[in-house]
Amino acid sequence: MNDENFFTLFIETMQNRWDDIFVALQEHLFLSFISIVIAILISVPLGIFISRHKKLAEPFIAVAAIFQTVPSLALFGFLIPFLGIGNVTAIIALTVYALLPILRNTYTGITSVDQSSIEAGRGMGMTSMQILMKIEVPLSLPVIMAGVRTATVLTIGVATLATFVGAGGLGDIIYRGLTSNKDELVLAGALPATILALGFDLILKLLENAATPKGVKAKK
Amino acid sequence: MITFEHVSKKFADGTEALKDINLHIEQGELLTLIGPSGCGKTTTMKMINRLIEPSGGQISIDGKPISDQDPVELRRSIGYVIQQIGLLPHMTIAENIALIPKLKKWDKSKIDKRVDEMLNLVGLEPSVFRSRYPLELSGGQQQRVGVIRALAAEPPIILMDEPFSALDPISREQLQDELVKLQKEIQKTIVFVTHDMDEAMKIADRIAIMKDGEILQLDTPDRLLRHPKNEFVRNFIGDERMAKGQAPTAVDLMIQQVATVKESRGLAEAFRLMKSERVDSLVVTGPEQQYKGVVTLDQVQKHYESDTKRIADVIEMIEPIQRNTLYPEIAKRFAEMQPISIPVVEGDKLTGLVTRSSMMRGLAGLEQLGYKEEEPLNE
Repeated sequence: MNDENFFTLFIETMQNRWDDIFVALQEHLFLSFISIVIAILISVPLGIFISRHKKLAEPFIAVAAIFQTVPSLALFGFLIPFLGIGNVTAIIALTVYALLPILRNTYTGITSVDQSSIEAGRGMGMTSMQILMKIEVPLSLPVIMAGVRTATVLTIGVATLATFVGAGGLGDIIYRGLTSNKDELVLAGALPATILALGFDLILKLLENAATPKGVKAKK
Repeated sequence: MITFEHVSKKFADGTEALKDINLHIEQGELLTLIGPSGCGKTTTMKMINRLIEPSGGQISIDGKPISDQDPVELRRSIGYVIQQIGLLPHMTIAENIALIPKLKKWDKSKIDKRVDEMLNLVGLEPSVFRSRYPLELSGGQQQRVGVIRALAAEPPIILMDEPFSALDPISREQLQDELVKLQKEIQKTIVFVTHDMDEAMKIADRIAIMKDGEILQLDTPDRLLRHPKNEFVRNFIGDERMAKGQAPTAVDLMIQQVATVKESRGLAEAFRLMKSERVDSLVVTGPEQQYKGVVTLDQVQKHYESDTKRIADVIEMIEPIQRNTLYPEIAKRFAEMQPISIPVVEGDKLTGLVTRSSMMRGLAGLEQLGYKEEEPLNE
């Protein structure tokens, strides 16, 4: 196989299989997006909670870290006996993966907000909720967003394994390429996944910048 | 107005931070709590807005026990200024000042007006500073905003926890002066925690000296200096005030309001100025307050007839002294040269004038604080 040949083959594959690839891309996006949203909904409030109860912080973060260290393929496999195959299994596995970066960044972000701002707020008569919403969340938002970004890129990568629990996604294309020994098909699945991850990374980077309060940027 | 009755505080770890504090703070007075670290001054202050709850006793404001009041509501009626300033970095200066009025649901036009009024109060031009962010301001400016943020919602009471001690000396002096001025205008009850006796002496109506969770003496600055209750109080005032019993310098002895005149002016004008200021000499200065010399009434009268003469022609040079020139040196100059007065300069700029009477007044004031003039040595 020479390079030129492979390149032509790849283009042809993209053209012929575009419908399949497009469907897989949509599934991939769907799985990743839902998982990230669920992970945010769990991790951000949990992160705020453990920033208020610091004794619980270590155990919670440790549990999330353990999830993260389980090899991803094993985690998918492990869930099948309990949940069968399908989207639900994939989403749960992906969510579990996305928890740690968001949880840890939320905790770090909230606890590293300048204590003098909080003391001033409390002393002036802000309620705990007002301190959270007007001081702690805005000031830690860039750090939380950085966690979301890490989690998103990670999830888009791991979502290629969703194919093994029958949830589709770009993993389907890659797996088909591997089993039929067609490198161009593997690439036709891997490349969109990579572009997707990079694209999201960029978008979230911009969001992270937008989330940094103007007055905080001013000092740099 | 604020009353402490048998207030005590024991922390969870068993330390007794306060023992039986009884204290009455009058409406409109500026009371400073002062003492070495760990004496309980900050604990005492933070009990007033319930950031710390007492273990025993009762605190009331205007006769109403604060333990019956909602802490959030209570705090909104008490201004709070802290050493670390604590402006919210993500909000503009205007938003920071408007914080409490907003929580109190004032309407927007009233808040806007109030923000400008507050900024003007501390000499920060609203059109410039309203939309700035805290980190774009100097430390002194930030704490000015900290102070007006506490004043914005018109609380009758303001708590200040070492508000100026993190600032550079110049800003600190300025803010102290401004606070004294402000206090005269707004007549709030201010509880001010500090560890700096100079600061306390300068701003307080009354000073409470604390040690080991007790108030040792509560008195006006003057009475504290005259009648320190015990050795600790005496040392505490003394140590901080009269650093090593050093001799006073020109700054302690001079007047700052000096009648000056520019050298290009005519003699008639100098004469009129002396009459209106009731002085018999004027200090001649250049366009930027540079010290040029002195013109005396004698000289003006001597040359008065010649109407072409200007001040530059009759000027006398009296060698000026520096701000840190020590008293013995100044006394020697008066004895030797018999000048009417001696100008005080910083670099080449005029900053004050030592006259015989200003020197006497300065010495009398310092003697009260413990400075003893040494017997002159026979040379």
